[in-house]
Amino acid sequence: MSEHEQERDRADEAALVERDVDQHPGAHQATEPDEEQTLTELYGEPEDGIFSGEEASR
Amino acid sequence: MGSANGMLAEARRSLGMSGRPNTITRDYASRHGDEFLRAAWCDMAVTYWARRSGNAGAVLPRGDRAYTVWHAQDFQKIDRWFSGTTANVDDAKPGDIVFFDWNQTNQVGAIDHVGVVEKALGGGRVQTIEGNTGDQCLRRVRSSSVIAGLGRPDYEDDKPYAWSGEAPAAVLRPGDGGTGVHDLQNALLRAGFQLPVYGADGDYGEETAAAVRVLQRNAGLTVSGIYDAATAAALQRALGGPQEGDEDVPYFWGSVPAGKGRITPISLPGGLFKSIGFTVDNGLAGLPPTKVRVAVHDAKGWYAAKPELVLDSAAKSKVWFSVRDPQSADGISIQRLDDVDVEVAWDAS
Repeated sequence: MSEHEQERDRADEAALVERDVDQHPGAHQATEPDEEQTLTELYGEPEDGIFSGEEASR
Repeated sequence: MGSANGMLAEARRSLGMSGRPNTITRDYASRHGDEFLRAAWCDMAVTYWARRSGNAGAVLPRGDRAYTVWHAQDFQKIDRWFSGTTANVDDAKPGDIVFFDWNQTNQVGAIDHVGVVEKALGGGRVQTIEGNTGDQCLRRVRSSSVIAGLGRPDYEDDKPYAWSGEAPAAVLRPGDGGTGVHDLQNALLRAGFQLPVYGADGDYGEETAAAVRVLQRNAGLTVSGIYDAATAAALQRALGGPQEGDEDVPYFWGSVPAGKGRITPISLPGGLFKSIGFTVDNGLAGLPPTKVRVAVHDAKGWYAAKPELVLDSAAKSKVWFSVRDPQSADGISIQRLDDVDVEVAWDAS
């Protein structure tokens, strides 16, 4: 990639992110029905809705 | 030197981060512009974790990314891309970068979200850490049906390990793992501290924490078991390396390669440097002055210390500036603003 192309890419990136990134609802929600159960088994009960614990076996 | 464990440790520290602007978007915006302060930040999170954990070269093979499609293409170009088949997802490694396409096409051009694999669950599923999922950083469970592919970073811990002989600069704590911890353990052993059961195994467990506490007690430091900047200095002294207070001896030094727009991140131990100086030999080579942009990271985040610093050996032998908070400054990023083919040397003390 030439320097000109790199500069153009940097200028374009913000517009592409605005248009395309994290737009689908799937990015923002659980897509597996047992997600909460699986994460609870791995990390224990969530704190304030966040599974931030250490893995039990780690 | 980075590792998959270091990448994941950094991602875990972001769990629960929410809203924007946040630490991650501010970090990206400091280098690429304020339009990123409130932009979608899933890939900015991956960029942040990679840079903070010393994994930029492995996770960001062609530099910082906020746009997921380009990031996936970066892995394709270096032949470290695995499409999102059930078999490939079952073979996912912790630290793999996972790219999502919600329409089950596995097309790179359709990717709009990204995270990092923390654990392969089997059955075509992985457990991830993702930034900007519901405008938060959360753990998720995802299946191959929504995974377009995986980028596999060439982490340093996949390569033969060799200790540098120095006390590591990064802050480390119980639960951490990877090359930094391996370096710490080797330094402790070389300095005469005991790790009788596990030795240098790369895991910061109770044995390592106990050795760090002994080191801290011997050095008259706060006994926390956490390897921080003051402990790093004490360990380096125990190893016989440069000491704070030595005159005319830079504690840290290096160079910034040429290349327009090139960004060189430098990780430095917080509290052990107050200023950084730059020199060039463009006068000797008959070249024009060169320019760099300097951003400093501290507890308050990134800030541009010098938006444009002109370096010219004919006018001034060394250009210095001081960081605003020496106790908490822990990293510097230098961006070349022109393509003058001259190496910039730096030292911090």
